Amino acid sequence: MIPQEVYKTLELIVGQKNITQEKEILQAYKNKDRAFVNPESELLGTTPDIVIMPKNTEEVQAIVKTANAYKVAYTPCSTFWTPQAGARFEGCLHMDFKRMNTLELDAKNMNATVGSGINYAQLQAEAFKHGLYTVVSGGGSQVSVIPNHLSWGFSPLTYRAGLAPRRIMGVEWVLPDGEIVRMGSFASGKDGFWGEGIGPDMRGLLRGHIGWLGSLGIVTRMCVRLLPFHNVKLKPMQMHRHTFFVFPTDRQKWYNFTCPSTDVMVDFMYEIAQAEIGAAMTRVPIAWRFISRSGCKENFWETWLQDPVQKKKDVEELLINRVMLIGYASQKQLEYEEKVIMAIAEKLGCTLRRTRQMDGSWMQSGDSVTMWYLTGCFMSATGQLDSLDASVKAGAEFAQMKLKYTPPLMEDHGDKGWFQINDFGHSGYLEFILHTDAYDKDPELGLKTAEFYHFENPKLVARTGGLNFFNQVMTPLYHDSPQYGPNYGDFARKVKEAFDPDELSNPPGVLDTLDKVIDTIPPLKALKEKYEKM
Amino acid sequence: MSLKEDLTNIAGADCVIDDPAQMVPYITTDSLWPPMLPHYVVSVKALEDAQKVVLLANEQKVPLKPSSSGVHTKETGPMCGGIILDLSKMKKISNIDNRNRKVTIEAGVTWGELTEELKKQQVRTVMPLLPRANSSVLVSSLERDPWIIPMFEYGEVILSMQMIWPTGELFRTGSASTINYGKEGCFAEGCFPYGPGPIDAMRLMMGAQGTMGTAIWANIKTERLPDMNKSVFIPFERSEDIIEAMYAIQRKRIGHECFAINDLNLAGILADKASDIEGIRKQLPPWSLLLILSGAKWFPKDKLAYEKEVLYEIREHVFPFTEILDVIPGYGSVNKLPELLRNPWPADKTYWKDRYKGASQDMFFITTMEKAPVFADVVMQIAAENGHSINDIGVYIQPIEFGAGAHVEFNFFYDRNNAEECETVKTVYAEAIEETLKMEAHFTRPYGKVMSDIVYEKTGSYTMLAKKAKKIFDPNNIMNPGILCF
Amino acid sequence: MVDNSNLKLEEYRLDMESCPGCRGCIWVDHIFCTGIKYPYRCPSIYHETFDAYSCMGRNKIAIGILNGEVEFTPKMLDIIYKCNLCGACLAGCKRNLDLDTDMVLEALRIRAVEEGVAPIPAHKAVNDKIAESGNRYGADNSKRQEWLPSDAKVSDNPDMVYFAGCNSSFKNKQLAIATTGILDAAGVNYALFSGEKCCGNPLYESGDADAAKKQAEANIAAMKATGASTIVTSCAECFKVWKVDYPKLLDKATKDMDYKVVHITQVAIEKIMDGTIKLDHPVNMRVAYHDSCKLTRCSDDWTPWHGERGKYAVTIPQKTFRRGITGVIMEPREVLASIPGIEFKEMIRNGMNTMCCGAGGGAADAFPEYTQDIANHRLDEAEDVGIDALVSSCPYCKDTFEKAAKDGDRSIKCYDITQVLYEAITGKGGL
Ligand SMILES: Cc1cc2nc3c(=O)[nH]c(=O)nc-3n(C[C@H](O)[C@H](O)[C@H](O)COP(=O)(O)OP(=O)(O)OC[C@H]3O[C@@H](n4cnc5c(N)ncnc54)[C@H](O)[C@@H]3O)c2cc1C
Repeated sequence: MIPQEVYKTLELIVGQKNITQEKEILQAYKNKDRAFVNPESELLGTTPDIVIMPKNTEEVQAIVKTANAYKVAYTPCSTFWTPQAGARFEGCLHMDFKRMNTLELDAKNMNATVGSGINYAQLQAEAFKHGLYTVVSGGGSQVSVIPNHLSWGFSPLTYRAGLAPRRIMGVEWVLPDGEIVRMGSFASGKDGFWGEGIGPDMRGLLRGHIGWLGSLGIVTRMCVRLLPFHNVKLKPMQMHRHTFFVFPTDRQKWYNFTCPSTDVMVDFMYEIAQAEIGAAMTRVPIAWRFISRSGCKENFWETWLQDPVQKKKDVEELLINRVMLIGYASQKQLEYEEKVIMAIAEKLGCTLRRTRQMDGSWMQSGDSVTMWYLTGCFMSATGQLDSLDASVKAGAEFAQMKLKYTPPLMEDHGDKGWFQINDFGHSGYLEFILHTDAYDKDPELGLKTAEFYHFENPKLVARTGGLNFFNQVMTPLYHDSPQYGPNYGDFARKVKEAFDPDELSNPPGVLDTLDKVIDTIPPLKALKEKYEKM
Repeated sequence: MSLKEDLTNIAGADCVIDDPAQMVPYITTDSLWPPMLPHYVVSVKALEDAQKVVLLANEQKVPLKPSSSGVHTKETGPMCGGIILDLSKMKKISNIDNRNRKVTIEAGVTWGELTEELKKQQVRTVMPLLPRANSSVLVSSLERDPWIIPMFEYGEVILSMQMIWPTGELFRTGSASTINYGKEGCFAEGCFPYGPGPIDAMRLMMGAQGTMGTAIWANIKTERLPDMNKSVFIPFERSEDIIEAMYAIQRKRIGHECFAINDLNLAGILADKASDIEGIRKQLPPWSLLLILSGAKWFPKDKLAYEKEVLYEIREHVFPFTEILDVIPGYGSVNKLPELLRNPWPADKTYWKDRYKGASQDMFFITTMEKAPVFADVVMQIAAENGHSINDIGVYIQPIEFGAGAHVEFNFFYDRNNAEECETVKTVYAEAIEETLKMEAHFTRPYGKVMSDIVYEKTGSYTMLAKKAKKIFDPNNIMNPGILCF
Repeated sequence: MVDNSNLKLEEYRLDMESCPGCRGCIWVDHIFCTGIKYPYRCPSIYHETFDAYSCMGRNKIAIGILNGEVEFTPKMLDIIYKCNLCGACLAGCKRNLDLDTDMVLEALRIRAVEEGVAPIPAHKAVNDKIAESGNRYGADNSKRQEWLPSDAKVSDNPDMVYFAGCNSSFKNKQLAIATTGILDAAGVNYALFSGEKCCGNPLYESGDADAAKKQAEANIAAMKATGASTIVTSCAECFKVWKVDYPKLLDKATKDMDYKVVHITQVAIEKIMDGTIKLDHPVNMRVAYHDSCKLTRCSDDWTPWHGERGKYAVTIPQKTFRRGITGVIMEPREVLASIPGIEFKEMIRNGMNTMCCGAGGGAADAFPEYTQDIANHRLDEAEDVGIDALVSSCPYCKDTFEKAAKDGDRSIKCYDITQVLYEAITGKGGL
């Protein structure tokens, strides 16, 4: 229990209205029952002692300083969409950043400074008004801009709009001990338009290929880069349950191409990148097509499990490269890019399919949530970041390994993962989305899933050389982590020790999470010991 | 064993220098402030040897400064005493990978070498404005030289890197960090730039002037070298107008090379010989916008056509009062620009900044483009007040990331042999830093003690953070001590 | 004790537990988000900010109640009842998921009544009046239809009966008058609802499902007696109750009810289009339409479900999910657009993305300050749009806005759509 004295101090900081320890309200912040295929929230998750809603950097600083003075652990939460946000231990102070909802957009210099409560839908809508755009996380536009820039930041739009760490500009950061650091051009003035530091770039402490997930203090304001878009309004529409933008087809279009083989699809993606055209590009896993067409879960399962032989064939052969072209500068640009893409497709033997000119998934979406409706839970086990070739090769191996764990994993007919090309073709991206039956509580199945997720999968990642953006920092036994770099875990731990010796910032920290969890669960511990010996 | 013996054991006797006379190439800077001497220069050719030197320096707590090309501009010159770790012999260029568009270069690879090598395959890396041919590409990339192509997509060129932490541990960054990188059976190609994990060593190394570790090799982005271009020259009377033009052009994402430059600097670049500079300058407008539109791999003509159309549309709305020209007065056809700007400045030719008066004290920072003219006014005023002719100042404004920011550079040209002029430039330089800093100029690259002292004093919390980080990674403060805020 | 499993909290445990916390329940649909200024469609979270005041939070609280971890304390009742049951969560959640989390909100109230801690006093007062007098005001119900103009062309043998609802019968009588005027102009064969009593919305929304059910049975019996097969309402709440809550309380599907429910705007637009209703009197005004939540999102047909869950919790037989998308949205707009002189503007949050006026769910009775805050927020939005009048299609919206506008000294006018249409038809709307 956090002592009353602390509560009183905190109350003085934010005012009576913005802090609570009423158990009825705390119940709503319970970090459990959140339907992730991840033991963290299920096993560690609990209810916080206090919920507090600061308004600005100064209040966050005062809270963090108080927390340090009384050695109270705190968990920063923006929109609370990940299991790493929220209480994972008793006696925790939950910081809800909803009230930090400022957004200042500098249209001329293409940036926006946001508070931690601003989500992507808000930012993107504001950006569009000025002919600008950002990459909305594939996780949906309900997530807030700051933590997503701090930890992931991927979507097919990253092909053209670059990777999230590059789009972090000025940052106001409350360190775990409560000191405020102003980074990028915030160090030199009020305008956060620039990200590079004075001399060494301290953004290097803020995030790497993934972030600290709240365990290295709190970013209270961040200026993010926006990029030039076209200036034609995207019209929102609703049809049945679906909401989407209708594209202005003289400036923006989707193209779905069927490719004769995976190799050709990959060549196609590379060639498009080398042609320096396109705004987004991704392979479409077949299951997604079924999701978008099914009206409900029942309908999905009915069709998805039908004729498995044909499905397997479809998964092998129905290879769709989905490309978005944008006439950023003019209609002529779009015409030019279309001419190029059609010529490349012809050269490689890819055929254009009928493609609907609308988007409800990537520009300003809330689609990722549909991932839950299949089996009632969701988790991405692996995400690889390297070249597209590397991603695809690894995907094939994962698909093979997955077979041994299906079930409990959901039948996916051998799908080789979701891959796309990033960073204008300089790198690739692979993600395997995992589903198990959330409603089947058979412990044997749970154990088998855990074996796949926490042990086999990381081993394969390490062997094939992937930079995994999901469980790498959280893998028990550090199957891959300590060896990457090598030994990045050691360096990261040194940083953590220097900045947060008492481990108050969102414990358990990213580096220890799973070991700490797994050791508390005998069957998982036994598994761990088995793998330790291997 | 003496330090010299240790170094000799690592690198061989002929790779260790302790004779000040022989050190000249390693310490010469074009700075107004005198260089300081190291005790040793040790040249290595292999990662393992470099590591041994770092381990030794760390163990013996001896200052160590990595040096990649021996071209020390911008006062990155050595500290007092200690060891210079010379990497300029590490010149391997490998894995020119046109599928992922990257190349592996060692620290000693120079702009001249890399450009020549890549040209053979019709590729290039983005380049700063006419770098010295004999300067290191890796250092340029780490030090964030501004690229003359402001395309966001071409930026952030380092994909992954092999480095040595100050404590001597080897480390690879980004997706080159994977366990079996470079070995059979591992798919990783080192294409992803960040990480591994929640820290980003590559970022910490950037702008660090060798204080955070030693970079040995890197995978950096390459891009196709366009074979069809349309260069244009657009003259402007007022800096405000050229800025608006660049905003408009960049917002439309057209063109490759694009920057603004004043008459003196442009003349310094275009003149065949130094004595022609004044003559050419007279023919040039006060401000010139240079822009190269480039075709891509497929249907290059079509691409040029739409970009040209957009450019003319912009002109109509943004700068109807001026022309888009094919000829640069005093120089000739703009068609020579791609060749000029896509190659480094030849090593055998006096560097363009040194042609006018023999030397240049450069001051540059990052700001938003719209503020550049205000900064220019202030700097000119400070120069005038201190007796430095405003006619002797070069100005270069480089939009970055589609013009979301700009590198603004002032070149105070002076005669090294004129003591009075040197003193004036020193005064102007320091005052200009003070004043522009007050106006929120963002000095991302504070070279030299004068600048870094002024800048770091004003940026307290960032300085504190940098010092704390430095302590973690370089507990004995051996890497290039005394510079920046360390 | 309610024996209808569709009204029981336990029935929705799986829905609560499957909530991933995406907050679709609070935001305006992301595609329709217009930026920083009006991001929420859930009034509750806008007002109270803590997560507990969202469907997501109430879901977790409901799990806590089922697990015996939390109790029905006064704070808990504040959380449960400071909610407009406006369907923001219904539409938001169902864009992506098949979770009936919105039903959790209703079942929580029913559970509170079962536990004896509700109806909360403010609601009990209203419920008592309904029990005593047959209307929410405690007025003499025999005078319910006194407003009827003598020249109204009511039929003895109607196809359609007009259910005016308590508000228009006793308080905003001009709405009832306007409605009959519209029905007259439309030339439909209608009558008033003889023996009309409160629809029972306050009863149901207070959680008193038993009382609501009795009210439903009585009103349905009265409906049968009229001999008509269609019921027309001008009140959004009555509309929803007849269309959704009565079948729900009776454990039947809307489609299996013996009557059909239409809203006055649905009748009107048909007759405007075919030329029967003539709009001869221009209404020179800039107006925006406030979508009443009950009409827009809360009026999808009800279909009960009694079945079991298979692998991955698929429903057997397949459940028909309400998604808050088949409400009356276009008709009011078409009506307004067809009136000469009107300059029609959309609210920033409109259609499915509307925000409740703040009165719904019994909040106006129990939490007047809360209601006023939401109404003011909505009026700010209306003023941002730049209009003279905010038009809605529910008397409670009108009342709420009118009060907030008056208290806030705002010049904006607040009308019901029947008033505006009546003005266009007769020039006697008194706008
Ligand atoms: C179904 C699903 C699909 C997804 N797909 C993608 C995808 O395609 N691409 C992608 O990029 N991401 C994806 N994600 C990840 C998702 O984008 C992130 O979970 C999201 O950014 C979290 O945002 P949030 O606002 O909910 O953060 P929270 O959950 O509130 O916080 C996330 C983490 O950051 C910390 N944190 C929060 N605020 C701050 C702050 N101000 N300072 C420091 N730390 C803070 C928290 O403690 C927590 O550890 C997906 C997630 C899910 C669940």
